[in-house]
Amino acid sequence: MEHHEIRERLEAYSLGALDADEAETVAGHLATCDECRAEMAQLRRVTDALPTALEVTSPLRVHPSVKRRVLAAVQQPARPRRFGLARWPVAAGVALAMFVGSTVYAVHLQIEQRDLAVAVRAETLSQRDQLRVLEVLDSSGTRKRPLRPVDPALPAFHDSYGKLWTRSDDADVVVMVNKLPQPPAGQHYELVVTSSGRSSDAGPLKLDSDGFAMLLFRADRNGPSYQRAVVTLDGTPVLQWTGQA
Amino acid sequence: MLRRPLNDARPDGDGPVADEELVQRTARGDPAAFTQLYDRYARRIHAWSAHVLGTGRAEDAMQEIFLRLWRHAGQFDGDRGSFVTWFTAIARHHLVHVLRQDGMRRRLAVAAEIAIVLEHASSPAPGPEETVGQREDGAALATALRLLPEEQRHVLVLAYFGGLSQSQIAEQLAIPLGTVKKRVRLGMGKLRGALAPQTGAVRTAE
Repeated sequence: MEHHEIRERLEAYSLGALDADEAETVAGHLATCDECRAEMAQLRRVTDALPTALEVTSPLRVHPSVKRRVLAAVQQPARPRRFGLARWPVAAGVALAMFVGSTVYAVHLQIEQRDLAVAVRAETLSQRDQLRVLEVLDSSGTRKRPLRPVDPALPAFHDSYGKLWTRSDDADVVVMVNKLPQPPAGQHYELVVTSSGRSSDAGPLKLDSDGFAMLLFRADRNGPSYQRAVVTLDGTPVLQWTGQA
Repeated sequence: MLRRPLNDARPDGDGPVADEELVQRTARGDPAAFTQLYDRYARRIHAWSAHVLGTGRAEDAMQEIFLRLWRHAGQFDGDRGSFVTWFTAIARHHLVHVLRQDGMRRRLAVAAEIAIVLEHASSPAPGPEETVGQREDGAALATALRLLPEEQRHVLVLAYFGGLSQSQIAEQLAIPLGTVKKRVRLGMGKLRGALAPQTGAVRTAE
């Protein structure tokens, strides 16, 4: 790409609006061209000020408690996790804990990031149900169980995951799944839970265009204890959680 | 008349400590330096996170962005640019990454809402003294954005806050790619003209 062609792309580059291959070409040119680098510095001043424009015009204010939370987070090492590895050789145990821990944490983060967004989306839930979801997800009596691919070797479900939340003092149950492939025409995802040896259909999981779905339902008792929770596609299990033996 | 250099922080003399010095101290594990950076930037990162992801997810996003600052402070290289450019890139990367998982419809809605907020710009809201110059830039930019033709403002906000590429904008708005590129260049040119010259300039304080 010629210098003048790069120059024409600097505005879009500064906004992060070039496709990856073009952005790479521009970045390569910037490393060698003083003139374009100087130009880019001017454009950066504009893009740096865009979030500042939002800061000065937004009526939203940050709650003081966030500062305590952030400061506490940076001063703590990663949360220790216990996996019952006492009898493992230490090195192997640490390696496994790091692997499992990071995976669990990644799943946790991905799901948490969506939780509240979905909960506050008016088109997904009524306001009352939004509050019900928040109550289930955010209480000291909340229990979370991960839903993982039944057959990790199946490529279609390799990245799929989910989580089931219950609360000890309430019968509401929340299930979220993500990155599920769109079901073939006429087929549906359902959640089936097993309690006291009896399986029952908890309800349908209707995917959005990103393969995400949430289900809110009432169990027959507070703090339901399930032996198994399975997401099925047309009756075939694809994601599951099974209680520890 | 009070006159203040454009640079907010003056490492020499009695002025506030520069961001660049604070991030270097943060890289050495100094929590006090990190706290000062938090105080300077919390409002910006919060407003940005809240308008992009919703208030429910803003605090998680803030925590993640400031954690990245803490963990990666050692990677900051003052020769390659200012702290605000570096930190803004970290924040945008995270916010756009999370927003992309929400799907295109949500991204378009977010950009539309942000455009409305920016249109109601008036004078800079009060904030940390150390970033007053930056906030004056922000206010000048908000005013300039309000004066832009709507179609130019729209593509800039879609690109920067919505994380859409020019090709995606063309597709979503059903307009030619060439038109999007033209709007981006015209819009950025006007915004650039709205910021006070930086080199050797002084700014009049209110």
